Amino acid sequence: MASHILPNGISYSLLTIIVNRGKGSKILGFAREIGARDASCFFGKGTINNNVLKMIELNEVAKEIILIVVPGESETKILEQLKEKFHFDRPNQGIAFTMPLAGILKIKQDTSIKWKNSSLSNQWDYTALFLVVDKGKGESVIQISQEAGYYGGTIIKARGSASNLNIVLNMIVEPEKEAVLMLMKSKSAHQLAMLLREELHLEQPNTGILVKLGVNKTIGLFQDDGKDGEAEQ
Amino acid sequence: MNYFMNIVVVPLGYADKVITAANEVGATGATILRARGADHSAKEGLFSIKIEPEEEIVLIIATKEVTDTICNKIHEEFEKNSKRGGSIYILPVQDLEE
Repeated sequence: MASHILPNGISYSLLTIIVNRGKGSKILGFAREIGARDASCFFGKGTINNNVLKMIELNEVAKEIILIVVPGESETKILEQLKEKFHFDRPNQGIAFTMPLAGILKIKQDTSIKWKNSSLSNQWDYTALFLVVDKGKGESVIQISQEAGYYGGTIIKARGSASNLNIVLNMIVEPEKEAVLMLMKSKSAHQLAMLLREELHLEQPNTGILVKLGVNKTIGLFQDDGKDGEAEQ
Repeated sequence: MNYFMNIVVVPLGYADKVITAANEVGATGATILRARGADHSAKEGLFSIKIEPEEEIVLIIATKEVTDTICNKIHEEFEKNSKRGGSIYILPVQDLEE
């Protein structure tokens, strides 16, 4: 089971882009243009931090999330191109960030994982918080973080399965879940993680899972001084 | 403990196969997202309608050793009884609260 190591100097990054719904196909087209290795797109919903809109329950925006795998060295160039083409340098146009991949495997082509050779640094400016909770709890996650002064996040509909599979009539029963993606400064990510852990009782089993992912580069983030988080969402 | 987030991208309908394979070798759970991809190998159709194949994304969080076995198992499973392939991307996890 020897792991193959990615050839020296070549690393891949996962470029995540969050935009308003309808732009997804354009960005997939862009991914095709730059010859990306792989790209996929899914729906999510974002929240606007606005009390008036909240009162009339119009504080939700339909979003699309696009994942593109890009080579590490052309990451900056691709972000620049994105910025120019989709105006990420203006507020409310969307956000994009890259996360370094530790390994990559093409099913049916490679026989084992190609791990990245060099160790990953631990110095991240930004952190992506990724939570998986039961359906309906996604909004309370956003509410908790907004009440604590952070910006919102994006909710993605998902299905989940636990370790003991419920197999009924040869079909796997998967409960509905919600995944929440939030982007923020690393130092406030820890505080929010602790807060969410307490509020959602994550230390108990079957309540949810919270993962912090290191973010390399970001574009499209606009924030007030002193406050951290996603201005766009 | 060093954890990794596995992002498994497979064609629609293959997620169950991934999860069954992963559970056999010690994954503790998985999350499935429904997505659509940009397959650049697919030809651009008539009237320049772009084909966006439907996909499923399976997220599995595991340690490095388990990640290794999961990936091997999924590869084996797809090699044996599947026509279509997919890809796995592994993201390093900074911190984890369960």
